[in-house]
Amino acid sequence: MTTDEELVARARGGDLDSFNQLVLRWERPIYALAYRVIGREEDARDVAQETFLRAFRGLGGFKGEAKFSSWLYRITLNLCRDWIRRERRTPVAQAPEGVDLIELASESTPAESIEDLVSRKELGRAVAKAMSSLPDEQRTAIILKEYQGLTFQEIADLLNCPLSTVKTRLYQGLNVLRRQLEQAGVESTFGAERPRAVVRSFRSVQGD
Amino acid sequence: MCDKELLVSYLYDELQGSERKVFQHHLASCRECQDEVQGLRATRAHLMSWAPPEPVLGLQVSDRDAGRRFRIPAAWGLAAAAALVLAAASAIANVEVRYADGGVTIRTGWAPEASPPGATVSAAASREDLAAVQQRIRELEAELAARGAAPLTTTPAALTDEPSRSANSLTDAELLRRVRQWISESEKRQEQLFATQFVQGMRELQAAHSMDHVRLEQAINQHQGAWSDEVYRQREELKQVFRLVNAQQR
Repeated sequence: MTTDEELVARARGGDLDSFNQLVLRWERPIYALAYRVIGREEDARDVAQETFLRAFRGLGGFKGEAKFSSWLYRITLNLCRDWIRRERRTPVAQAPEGVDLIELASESTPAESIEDLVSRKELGRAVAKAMSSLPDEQRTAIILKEYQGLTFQEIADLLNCPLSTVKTRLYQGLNVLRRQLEQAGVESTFGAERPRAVVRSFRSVQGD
Repeated sequence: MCDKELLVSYLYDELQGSERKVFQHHLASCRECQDEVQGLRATRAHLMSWAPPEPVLGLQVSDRDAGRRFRIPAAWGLAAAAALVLAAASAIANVEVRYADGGVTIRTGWAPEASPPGATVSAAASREDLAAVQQRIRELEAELAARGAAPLTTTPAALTDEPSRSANSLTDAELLRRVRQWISESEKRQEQLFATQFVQGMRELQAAHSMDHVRLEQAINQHQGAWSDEVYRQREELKQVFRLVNAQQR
């Protein structure tokens, strides 16, 4: 596969197709980043489109010191910051109202029952809600680490802050999320705990 | 004391070599860190269930986008742009546009009498502004000349509300900055002026258009009326003919 750097070099030479190959490669991660930061589908799409327009126009200024993707992330984060400032409100992730079982059925894999899928969707909503309560800095650090899979060093470069600051933000943010999810009734341990708990409460009801 | 930075690095598997060994050694004996690592691992697992929607994006950058952000140029370019747009409109709508004496005049051929007196957009206000600014520029030029600097090329575009103040204390850089600021302000105003004029022009076209609709409808109604009269008249004539024929047959 052609590397990002090769495509960037061709795009700098005026090859629009090469640039659009980069767009195709990166539109989903960029959209996902924008969506998680600002929490609105339509606006996230606009931010993604604007990111690529700016990247294309600014290609001459991209020296290749950072990875192309890091450069894109930086543009996206700046646009998101502008968006938040403009809207003057804390970003709130849109949780879809209700769960469409038919739509879900098409998403479920054979290994996962509908019940599991519904609870995964509900869990996703609880996570989105908890994330939206975090301070911007912590939320951004978690998004970049957890969902975009950047290294601590990449995040530090992107946010122009020391490595230790990135780690602190992550640590604090994760602990807030953990508490919030526990309060929302989400188990903080894996596996077999829940069925047992259900059985126990069922027995206690019978005993009454 | 527990090192939370190490804990986070361990959690994300970004600890190598000796650091990793040191932390693992600590973890083996620290109940608090064990709980924390376990709890945060669970939290991380939960985070994975927050999936963004997956719309069909199909984003693309086109040739048009590449040069999309053109700026409306100042003064003359703007007038030319206005003339071009309105000429295009007039080609379709039989509109007359005059650009003279700093005012834009728009007339439509559809319904001349429907044009309210306000429909002639005047740029007289901006002409006064222009005079004021030209005056200010002359002052600035005089000032610069007094310092032995080259005179400014006069841009007939700079507008300002700023009161004339003692400029003797201004440095060249400050002067340049202000001139630039005036010019950009004036560009903004011209953009607004252009937009206003264009909107007014379009409004008038629309008004004329709807007047036209009304007239057309009236004409059609009249025509329909006349047509049914004609039908009635012909029917009466036919009846008359029938009567005559019948009378002859008898």
